Amino acid sequence: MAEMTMAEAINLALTQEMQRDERVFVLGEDVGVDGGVFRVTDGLLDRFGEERVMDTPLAEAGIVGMSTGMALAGLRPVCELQFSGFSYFAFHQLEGQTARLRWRSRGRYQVPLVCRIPYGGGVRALEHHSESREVYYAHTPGLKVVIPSGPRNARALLVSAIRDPDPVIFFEGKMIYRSFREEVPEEEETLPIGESQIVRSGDDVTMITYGAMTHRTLEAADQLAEQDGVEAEVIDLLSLSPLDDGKLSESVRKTGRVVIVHEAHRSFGAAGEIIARINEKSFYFLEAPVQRVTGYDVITPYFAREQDYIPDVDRIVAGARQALND
Amino acid sequence: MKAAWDDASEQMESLGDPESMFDHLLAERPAYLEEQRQAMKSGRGDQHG
Repeated sequence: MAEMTMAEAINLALTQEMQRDERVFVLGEDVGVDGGVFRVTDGLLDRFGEERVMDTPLAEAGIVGMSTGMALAGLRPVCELQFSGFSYFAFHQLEGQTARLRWRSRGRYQVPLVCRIPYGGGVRALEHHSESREVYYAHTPGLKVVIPSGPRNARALLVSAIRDPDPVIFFEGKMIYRSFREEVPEEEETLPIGESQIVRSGDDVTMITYGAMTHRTLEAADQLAEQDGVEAEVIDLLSLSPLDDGKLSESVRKTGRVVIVHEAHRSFGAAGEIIARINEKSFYFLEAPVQRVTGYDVITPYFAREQDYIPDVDRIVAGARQALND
Repeated sequence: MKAAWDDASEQMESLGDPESMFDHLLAERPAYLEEQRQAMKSGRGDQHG
């Protein structure tokens, strides 16, 4: 197996799916000649030509609107919006059209598109370039929201997303595009959308996270084991919508203590929804209040301050200790 | 390019303490935001509210 970065693994998924299915198209700002702002689509234009790899104008609503039309016509578009902070310009298309067409047509039409959106901080960028607004989309009925945490699951989930009959918003953590490598098999691999993974087993506390925060949470879990003798179970959600209630309940019922970690703002964030689901299904198994370790409720700060905003290992450890000591 | 980057970094540093990220969001800071700001300032991070 070849070792690759998440950017390279996503490129592999796109390449193989475009080879397998001539209905798969890639479009977005700079995805062709430049190979994407993060070079994720590097080489696709040379390989598949300008009819299948299309540089678009700087117009996010146009990109999503065009992709929606292509999907309605039977194609499998994979569009890229360069930064999640730019995705708001396409929100009326995603919410008002893409997400509703199956329902609106009583199942006669489907919109099998994938909208890839780099999200989050960690690359020292400016305003609008470091945001984590995944819950806007998870809150929208008719969309699926997937957030990989590394090269191997990014490749497998993107393949699944491209083959999915419904619109999938595919968030890619910029912080982890090139921060580490993993072995990724050349042969086809998929992962079911809507299923989380236990990436570390433990009996003392459940740590729930996703995307770029997964590795910091694993570091925090290792620190807890070393310093406190605590064994944390870490769940990588992989999909925010649908949410894997079953696996969460199973773990919470075992440990009774929970901390949820995400980079996005705290209020009305994913952690709030997860806590509600835990209350609905496993409340009587809880030994302590569920803790949240999240970004603050402020405009995502400029790069000089982003490390004060994004949860770090110390904050995650402190959150877990609070859950353990309450 | 490097000079522009250094200049931008310097300006960012002059923005003030980290808790200044809570400034100027709204005309008056609501209680939940003040709790978050105080928790950050005192190093309590997420233990608030």
